[in-house]
Amino acid sequence: MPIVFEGVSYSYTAPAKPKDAKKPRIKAKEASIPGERPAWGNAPDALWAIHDIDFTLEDGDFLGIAGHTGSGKSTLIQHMNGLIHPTLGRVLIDGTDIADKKAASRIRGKVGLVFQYPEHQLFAANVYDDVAFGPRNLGLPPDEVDRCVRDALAQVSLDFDSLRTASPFELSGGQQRRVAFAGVLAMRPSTLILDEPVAGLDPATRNSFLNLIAELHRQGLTVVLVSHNMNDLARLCNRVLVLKEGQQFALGSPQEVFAHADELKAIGLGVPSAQGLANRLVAQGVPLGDISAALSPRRTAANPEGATKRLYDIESLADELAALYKAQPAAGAIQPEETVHEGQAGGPYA
Amino acid sequence: MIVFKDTGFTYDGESFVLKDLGLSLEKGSFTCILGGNGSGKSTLAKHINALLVPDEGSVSVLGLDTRDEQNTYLIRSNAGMVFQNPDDQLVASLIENDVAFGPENLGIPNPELRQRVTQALAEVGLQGFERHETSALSGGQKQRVAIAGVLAMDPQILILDEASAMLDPRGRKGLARVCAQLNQRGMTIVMITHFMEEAALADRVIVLQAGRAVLDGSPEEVLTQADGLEHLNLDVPFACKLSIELQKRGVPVKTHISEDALKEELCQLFLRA
Repeated sequence: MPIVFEGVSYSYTAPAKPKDAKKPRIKAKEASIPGERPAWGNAPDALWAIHDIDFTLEDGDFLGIAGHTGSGKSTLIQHMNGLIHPTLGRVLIDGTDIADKKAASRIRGKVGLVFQYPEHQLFAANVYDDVAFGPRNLGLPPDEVDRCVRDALAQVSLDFDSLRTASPFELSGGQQRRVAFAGVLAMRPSTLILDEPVAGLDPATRNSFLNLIAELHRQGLTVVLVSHNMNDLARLCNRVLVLKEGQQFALGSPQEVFAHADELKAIGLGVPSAQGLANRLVAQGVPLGDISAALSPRRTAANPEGATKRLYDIESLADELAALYKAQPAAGAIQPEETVHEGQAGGPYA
Repeated sequence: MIVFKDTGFTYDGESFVLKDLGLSLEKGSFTCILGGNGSGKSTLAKHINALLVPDEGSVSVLGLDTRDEQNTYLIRSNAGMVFQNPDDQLVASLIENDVAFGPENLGIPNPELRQRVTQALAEVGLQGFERHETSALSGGQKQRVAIAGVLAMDPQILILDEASAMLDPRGRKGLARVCAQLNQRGMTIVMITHFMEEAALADRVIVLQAGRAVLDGSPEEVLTQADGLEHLNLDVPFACKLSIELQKRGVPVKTHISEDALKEELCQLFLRA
């Protein structure tokens, strides 16, 4: 069920009216009045919250969306399940334009959107009713609803029997968020969109949540993850979309996107920690990923671009630095430690 | 300046959130408090400005016992607190009104009031924003306005309870910079956070677990204890993780907590002429 964005733009000052889908949804004149109140974000003269977004979310994708506050991330993801409609351009899901109300309501159960701090939206007296709210609204029969709730709670590793009657408000923050998650999963979506799903959690809870999301993706869900954390995006995603002031700034594999550390920094974003350090080392002339250069007596010139040939994580960066260290002709002053550490030095050059 | 003595606290009368806590925070110090969810961090913070008072032992702030209600007013006007959610703590629609709210309640007369507002906004890098609407600010700016509101009361202690949790990286850096500057000017800062990069800025790091201080020392001492931190459900700083991975592979580097220091050592190692 690919989701196709075709030249999608959205303005909060001149939103589309879905009823008039047939008519041109906005007069061009109206959309380009300069000096109007900013639509969104930081740029005072920005009229477009997102502008000319053009990409396809394929089945099985794990797409990361990054961007500075106000860059249009939340506006963009709300287009994916028809919560808002493009002012210009269109969003196609399975080939159908979701500006059509009927089409939008058909797909809304298929595209699950988990907002920031979803636990703020818990409302029911017990966990069961909260999770069952979605499937009941889809008009499913009670036994089917029951199965949805059981499956969804199992998916988020919560115990059905002990929690079904518990009030969601008496659970810990991490459990509350799992319940909120389950409420979306109970609709059996094929695409899951998560807006900063681990914000405000402690490191241990964060990791278990990210593992849960990765597991859902492995089970076949298409996942869209909005995050400020470049380490998470690099580790989990197969593609990353970077937004800048509502426009597509970069789209590609994590390796392609994070190679442009300086440009990302200029728009207020970072790169994954290991990649950032690798870029800085290469910029200083450390011949990362180039053992032969390390062997030659002449050091390679500093590489101001700081571009590396691959995307590093902590393990691979440590592997290559260790390989470089061992390859250094002058490093032989103290040798005996090598045998001790050989067993642990797994990696391509060990 | 802030002394916890055998402090115990319970919300329900049964399980203690803080237990036998003994701590002394110096005037002018910058302390960072770490701990997993439910370790008692926020409860500890709320004891510093007498939002909570201990059930066992005592807490004294500026030499004043927080259990004595007569001290509450003086303690609160000297220990300002900034909370997690930027949207929860702004009270007025114009920035200057919001920042003036605290000192106005203290009864500060007008020429001085205005001067305090102007100065407080300058200290958080928002000079000239007096007449802006609070609703149009980013999360990071809102937190800085909240800090300005505290600063305008001219407190000696600033407490930040996960004040950066909802901010993006740029907002977080801005907030950390403001804290470091205030500390240099002598303000005592207590910062509660999950972010190790922020802990590295402090001059003392305390790790709580189940209401007790289990690790306490300089950032270098505490943050390099990788095994201990993982045990306590905390992250280890990136530079420290990589240092340890390199040591395992036989590269002789020190265990660093700052990426800059690690980068310097690696450059020396690989680029010595």
